[in-house]
Amino acid sequence: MMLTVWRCQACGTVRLCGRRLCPECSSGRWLEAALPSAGRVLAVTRVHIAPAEAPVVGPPFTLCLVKTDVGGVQFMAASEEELTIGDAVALSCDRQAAPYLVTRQPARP
Amino acid sequence: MAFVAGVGLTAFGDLAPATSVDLQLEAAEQALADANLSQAEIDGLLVGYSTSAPHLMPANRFAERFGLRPAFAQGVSVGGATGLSMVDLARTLIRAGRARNVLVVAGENRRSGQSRATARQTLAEVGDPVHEVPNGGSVPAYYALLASAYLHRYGLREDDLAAFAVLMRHNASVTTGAHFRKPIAIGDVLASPAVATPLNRLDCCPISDGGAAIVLSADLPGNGPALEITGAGQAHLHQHLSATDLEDVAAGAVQAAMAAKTEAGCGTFGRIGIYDSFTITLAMLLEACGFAAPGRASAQLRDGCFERDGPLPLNTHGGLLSYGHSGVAGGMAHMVETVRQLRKDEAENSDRPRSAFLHADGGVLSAHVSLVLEARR
Ligand SMILES: [Zn+2]
Repeated sequence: MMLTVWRCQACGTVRLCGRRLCPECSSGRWLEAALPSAGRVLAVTRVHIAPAEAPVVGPPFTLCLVKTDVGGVQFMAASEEELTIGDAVALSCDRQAAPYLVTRQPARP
Repeated sequence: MAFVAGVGLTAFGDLAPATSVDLQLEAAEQALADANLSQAEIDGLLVGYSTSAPHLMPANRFAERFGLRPAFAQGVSVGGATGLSMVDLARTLIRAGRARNVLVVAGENRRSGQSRATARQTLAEVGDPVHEVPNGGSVPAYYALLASAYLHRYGLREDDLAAFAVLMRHNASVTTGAHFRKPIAIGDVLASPAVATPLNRLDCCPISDGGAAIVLSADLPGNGPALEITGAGQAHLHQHLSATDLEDVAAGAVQAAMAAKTEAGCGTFGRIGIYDSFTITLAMLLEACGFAAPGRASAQLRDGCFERDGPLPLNTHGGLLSYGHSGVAGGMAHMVETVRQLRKDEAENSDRPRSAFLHADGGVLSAHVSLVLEARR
């Protein structure tokens, strides 16, 4: 499964979840594009009590909010690593149960 | 005009074998007795959802069991904001002339009526089923994400949040019917098991059984001060955390609070009731609703601002964190408590302003309702 985002053709708003009308300009014309892989951690938690099957090995496992460097799209992801806010991360190809999985990347300026 | 005619609240906790409807009936009976109204006088009915007893027609199910034949009835569902949302709608019905006496009721055996895992799984559906839940999302985890960003942004620590759990427990310790009443200290919160960092178990509300009811009326009530709903505001800007910008995540609360205060023309309050599903919820909503500067809610708490005898008593029954959380009724308990305290202020002729502000959120700061309550003389 390729992870994608939706870009409003009228005003350029980018959203993760598809929707009928653009909340910014009410246009209904969207283009699907690949979700940029690289981003930074905006918020992070180590989950010790999981609701159902853990998305990766654990619990505990990491759940975070990531903002992509390109496009500034926010998405939620799981990780097997312990992350902190500001860490550079990238989407991992190692698909486990979690549809969005990230790993830490070397620090970028 | 819409006045608060009566309120009812059951004890919260493990109330087996009471069913959801049993708890609704008990709370409604209390509220009607408090309002000194008969069943025949109730012509409007609003009933909140129950996750442990889902139903297509919760208002009709309740009406039949209670013996009501209202001219208007509706089931309502906007998560944790449902209780205040129903009160807002009841006021609208009264002002539009569609009803004179509206009963708002909710009750759920959320604790004893289902397994803890089922309750958590149901609540996880607040998250996006494609983009969030499969990554291991849950309600505590979403609020933990908010908490991590909040603490990082303002350079605060876990004990700043823990202080809210301590205050709520202190309030519950003197409240009959509260689910948890044994006083706790900040160290107890920090030492409780981690749920989703930085939130520990005592940063999270319990799952409780309980019921609550409120009657709104077009007529001046005979009991105590005439408490009128003078302002209301709502905002529904997103459903999922992934669909909003983290920096603007509390914007709905700001909008709703502003709308309610503006309509009421009132900015001075003697009491406040703020939704507190987690300690972070309380800190963020206090700031968004204008009762603390950004990042300053815990500092204000330490200064005594929100204590029972302080300038702005907050959730004096113990809130969701300690009185308990039985779903929709949990979010109504803040209003029931506020009404009772305002009546007491009047009876004791206290110096406090006879006005209160209430706010509740549903989802992940997704649905917001604010109300202003003022005594009319
Ligand atoms: Zn647009």
